[in-house]
Amino acid sequence: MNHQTYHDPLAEVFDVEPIPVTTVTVSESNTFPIAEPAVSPEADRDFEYVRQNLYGLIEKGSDAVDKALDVATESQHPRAFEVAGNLIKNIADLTDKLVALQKTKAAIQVATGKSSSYTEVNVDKAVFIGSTAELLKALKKHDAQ
Amino acid sequence: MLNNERPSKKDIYLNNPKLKKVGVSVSITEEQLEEYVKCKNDPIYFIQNYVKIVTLDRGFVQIDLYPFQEQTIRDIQNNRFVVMKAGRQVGKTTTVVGYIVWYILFEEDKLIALLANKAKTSREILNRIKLAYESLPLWLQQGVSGWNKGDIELENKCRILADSTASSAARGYSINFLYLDEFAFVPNNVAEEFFTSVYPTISSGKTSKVLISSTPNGMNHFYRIWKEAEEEVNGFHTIEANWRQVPGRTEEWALEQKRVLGEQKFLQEMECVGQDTMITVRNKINGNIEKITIEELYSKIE
Repeated sequence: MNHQTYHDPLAEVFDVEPIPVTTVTVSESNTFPIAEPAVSPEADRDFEYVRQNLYGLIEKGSDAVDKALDVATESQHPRAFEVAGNLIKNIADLTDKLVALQKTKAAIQVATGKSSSYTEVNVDKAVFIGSTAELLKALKKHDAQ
Repeated sequence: MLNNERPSKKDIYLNNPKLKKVGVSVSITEEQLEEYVKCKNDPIYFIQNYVKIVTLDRGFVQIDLYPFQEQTIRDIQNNRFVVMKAGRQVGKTTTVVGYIVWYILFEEDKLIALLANKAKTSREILNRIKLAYESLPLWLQQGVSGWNKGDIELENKCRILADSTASSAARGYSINFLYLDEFAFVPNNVAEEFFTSVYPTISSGKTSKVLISSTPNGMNHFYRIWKEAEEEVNGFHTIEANWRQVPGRTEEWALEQKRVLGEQKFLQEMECVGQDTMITVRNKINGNIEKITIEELYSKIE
């Protein structure tokens, strides 16, 4: 933290002592990295937009199915049942797409190397690195000596 | 390198996050190493702290060994040939499951055969072993190279086979640890054939172990093995466990069981009393106190 006195024209006009201005110098080592988003902001926006659209379509579709079934029941017309059946199938496909969207997002994260797959291991405190079978072998050898 | 809390897909066996693949490196800290050595040297410590089982009342919980179970483990550990006569539901299989999990983790190149009167029974024991193994922390586990319904194989070349005590079962294998469960319920002829074909290959080894456990079932081959073990003829160490050794089982519980099972079944299933056990009875006709075997008593009643 530095205290610097700057040339202040108002102080001159009113004939007072200029107020020292405090400035903070931020060194490189004190900065904290900002976590990068897992995927680009555009991709995130698109993902959210598609998700909302799918939600809307599924809900509207469900209403439409109810109405189509009412029409079919009232009219007892085979074509009306066929339409209702197709509508149900389309809604089912949309719900599948919603689930597939999550998979797509996960795949993008893995592909861009930004997935949080928890593979980092702290080895600072490790006294042995290797497979458990190797550890057992080493201990048995140690016991035999 | 394996992350113990959240293993990545490449480190786990066939998409099972509870099992580690062969050859996966782990980073062992000093505390973990101390724990590993403690477990390796003391099966009781390992079982008490790491082995979980499914219980009827409390679900999937850590084993809390009863004193007689601890003694049983010590006896299995210190003797090559052990025969165990135990009552129903005293925790004999649980004890053996714990010991086998320890054995496959801290031994190398061993083949364990679990044989029971039915293949289904032995597979049930293997299932319990698998369940207990899956609950172990990954840094303590050996990598898994085979995980099937009837057999498992680990990175340290320890294998477990589960089958029935049919004459051909386990023939041709060099078994390091043979566990025969409910042996008294294997038909006499099957047991004889089994011993003729398999037993020589086990007893010829210098370190191989045999553990026979059962609830008594009349005067058959199991009875003979038990009798010879008591007379120190066949080299088997004997372990006996009945309902009294299970904490929480009271005389009221015994009375209830007697009501359900009947006196004779209760004596056999819970008290582990065999037909040759001497009991004291009072003769109603002449008032004499006599010592006779249960077999004699039942023949008189009938």
